[in-house]
Formats: sequence, C-alpha cells, structure tokens
Amino acid sequence: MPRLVHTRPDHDETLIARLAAGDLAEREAVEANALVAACPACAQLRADLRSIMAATAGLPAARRTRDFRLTDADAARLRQSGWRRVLGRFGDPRLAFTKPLATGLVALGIAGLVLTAAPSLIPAIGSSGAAPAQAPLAGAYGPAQATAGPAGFGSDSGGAAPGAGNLEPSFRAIQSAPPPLPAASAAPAASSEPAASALPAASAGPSSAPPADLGVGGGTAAGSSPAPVVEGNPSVGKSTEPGSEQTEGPSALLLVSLALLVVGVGLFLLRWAARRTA
Amino acid sequence: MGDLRTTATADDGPQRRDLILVERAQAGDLTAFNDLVLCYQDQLYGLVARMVPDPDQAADVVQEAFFSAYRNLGAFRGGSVKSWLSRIAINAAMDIQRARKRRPVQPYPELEDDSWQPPAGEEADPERQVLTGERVRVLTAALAAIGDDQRAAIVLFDIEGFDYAEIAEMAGVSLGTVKSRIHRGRLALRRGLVDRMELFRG
Repeated sequence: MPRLVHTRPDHDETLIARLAAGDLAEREAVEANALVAACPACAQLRADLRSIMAATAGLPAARRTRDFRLTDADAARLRQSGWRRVLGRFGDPRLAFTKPLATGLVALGIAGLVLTAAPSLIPAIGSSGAAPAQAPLAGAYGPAQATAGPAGFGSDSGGAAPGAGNLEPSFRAIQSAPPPLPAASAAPAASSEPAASALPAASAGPSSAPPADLGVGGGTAAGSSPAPVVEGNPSVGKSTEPGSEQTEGPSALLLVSLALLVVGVGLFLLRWAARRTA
Repeated sequence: MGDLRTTATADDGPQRRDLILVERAQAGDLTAFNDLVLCYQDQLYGLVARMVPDPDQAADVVQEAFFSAYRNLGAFRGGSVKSWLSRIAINAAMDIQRARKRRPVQPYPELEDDSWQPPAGEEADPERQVLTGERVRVLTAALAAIGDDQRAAIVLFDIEGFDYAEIAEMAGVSLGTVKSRIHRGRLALRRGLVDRMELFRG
C-alpha cells in the first residue's frame, strides 16, 4: 500500500494547494513547479489534492426526501404583517449602519457611566489609601483602646478620651436606632458624623477598630458628604436627617449615559429580533 | 421597487426566468414562488445535505430556507436568485451545525445506514461499484470532519460550481478568505484521508 509521504516542514503546502487549484500567478507558479520538481513529497501532495478535487466534484448528490413547495397555509402564516414587517426592516441590508451605531451608543453609554462613577470611586480609594497612614497612630493607641472599648461600652459618659467617647455611639447604633448623639463630642459637625459612620466602624469590631480608625471613618464620611452640610447649612439638626444626602438628583451625565446605553442595547435587540424573525 | 430583470443579462435565460418569478412572487403569486422552489429544491437539498449529515435535519433546513426566502422576498435586491437562495440555505445549515456542536448527536448517521447505496453508473461492475461506494463514504466522512467554513467553501466551489466571487458574496468574506478556506480545506481533507488515499490515486 503506498503510504503518504510528508512534505518537508519548510515546504509551503498551501503553495502546493494553490498550484493544484491553478490559483497561482505566473511567477509563483514557476517557484511552485520548481518545488514540485525537486520534492517528490510535494509532487505527491499535488497529485493527491487533484485526486481529492476530482473525487469531491464527483460526489453524488443526495436525493431529496420531500417536496418543499409552500402551501397556502404556509404562505398565510409566513406573510409578514404588522410588527413583523416593522421589525423586518431592521434586518434590511440598507440599515446595516445600525450595527456600528448601536456599538457606538453602547460604548458612549458605558464610558459615561464610568465617568459618572469615577468621582465617587476616587475619594473612596483615597480614603482607603489614607487608612494605612493612620494605622501607626492606631497602632499606638491599639492596646489601650482595645481594653477601653468594652469599658466604654458599659459606661455612659466616656469622658476619659475623645476616642472612647466616639466609640459609644458606634455600639449604640448597632443596639438600637436611632442612636442618641453623644453630648460630649467636641464639634457639632463631628458629633453628627459618628452616627453616620457608626455602622462601618462597629462592623469592623471594637477591638479591631480603635478610635483612630473611627476618626478615619468619620473623615471618610466627612470627605464624601458632610462638607456641604457644614458649609451650606450650619444647622446640625438638618444635617443629621437621614435622607439629606439623597435629595440630590442623578447627574445629567448619568442620565445621558443611561439613555445612550438603553438606545444602543435596544438597537442591538431589534437587529437580533429582526434576524430571528427572518 | 425597480425592475429586477434589468439586473439580468439578455443571454442569461435561467436568471431572467428567476427574476420574473421573484417579481411575481413579490406581488403575492404563490405559484410563482413554488415554481422557484421546483427549480432549486434539488440543488439546495444537495447543498445542505453536504453541510448537515442527518437527512431529516437537512430537509428541515431546506424547508426553513424556503420559508425564510418567502418571508424575505421584499429584501431581494436583484442579482442571482440561485446565489440568494444558496446563501439563505447555507446560513440555515450553519445555524444547525452550530446548534449540533452545542448539543452533539450521532456524528454521521448515514454512514451507519446500510440502506444507502451509491448511484449505479451505466458501465459500473460490482467491484467498481463497491470501490466507488467506499470512496464516497470515506470522502463524505472526511468532509464532515473539517471545519464548517472550509466545508461550505469546498462544497460551494467543487460540488455546486460557484466561483470564488460568488462564494465570497454569499459568505460575506473576501475573495482571499474564500481561496484560503478552500485550499486549507483540501489540505485538511488530505490529512483526514491519510490512510485511505489509495482509493483516490490512479
């Protein structure tokens, strides 16, 4: 049985295939013919490819097993009407531009959302980056506050250290809501903020979140929202209202981005549906 | 809508006939569309059967292709009706192939079907008939084993007789891509037939 002889790895099989198909320009054909003349395996490959081409062309046609003519009922069912006709227009080749348009709209929408989200992410990163800077201070307080924490939890007046005084509302926030604001706190703005930062601080645990951490937590809250509260409205009572931060509406950029995203995705869905119905 | 017949050359009889039938079908004449079906159902079934090995599935694909063609008569913009129908059928066959890959079934049912016999030629003696049958079997199996795109290109070029440009238009790819698929497909066929090449030599 004659075995297949492999061409040398450096011989271009595609070139031989193109030669066998007669797809080579004159110059390439000279090169390929020289290769075939010098390499028996290449000559065998060309002969085999020609045999395969002939055999493929001679494959018998499969015999049809049914009649594919449409009945009146088929035609009535398939006739496009109403929304299908409208939908079908989106699959029209003349509306092929809707695909890049949809891609562009979605990209713009996503970019807008990222831009909208970025300012609120950056301070969060900044504050989490600030934490290590506070850590040595926390470490310095660490052991003392770890023991002071539970003690402060029992006593109502944490007059010893300001940090201990700030710990108390944190625990109260867990125990019951709304927590009574500590009267012993230094500044009014600061006194309003521990309540807001109480849960995160307390969730970290009293021993793992020493007063320095609470200070950072308070700083975070102050960095993200309380500045307008203090500057714009000095009234502490109003600044502590639970819904005071949510009164700001979504930005125009956010709305536009969402609209672009929805329109883009909608276009994609329409094209997809048009192709499905087609 | 413009006159579709203007896209056909004067000496292209079948093309003129097809365009007239399409125009009548577009106007709601079901008989005209069914005349088109009669003209092309054998050819489309032969084409799809090379792409979708299961005969029942192949028949379903062809039926779906004609349904799709009827639904989209309004989208036909002239040119070759045969190419248009073939493109629809190829796309339908490709969809089925993709679905089969997600949910594999019996790989090649008719290879196990003993009732299948190669068509007998006029001068075919039994020995030659067996040889031809074996050649068809191994080549069909090898064809089924290569990539969908390569198989489609080879079937359209070698079996259905479309030229490179027509296949490129049907597949929505460049001429070079079509040539590359055909050449690489043939090389893949040869690799698949490595142990049975003696059937095809001489």
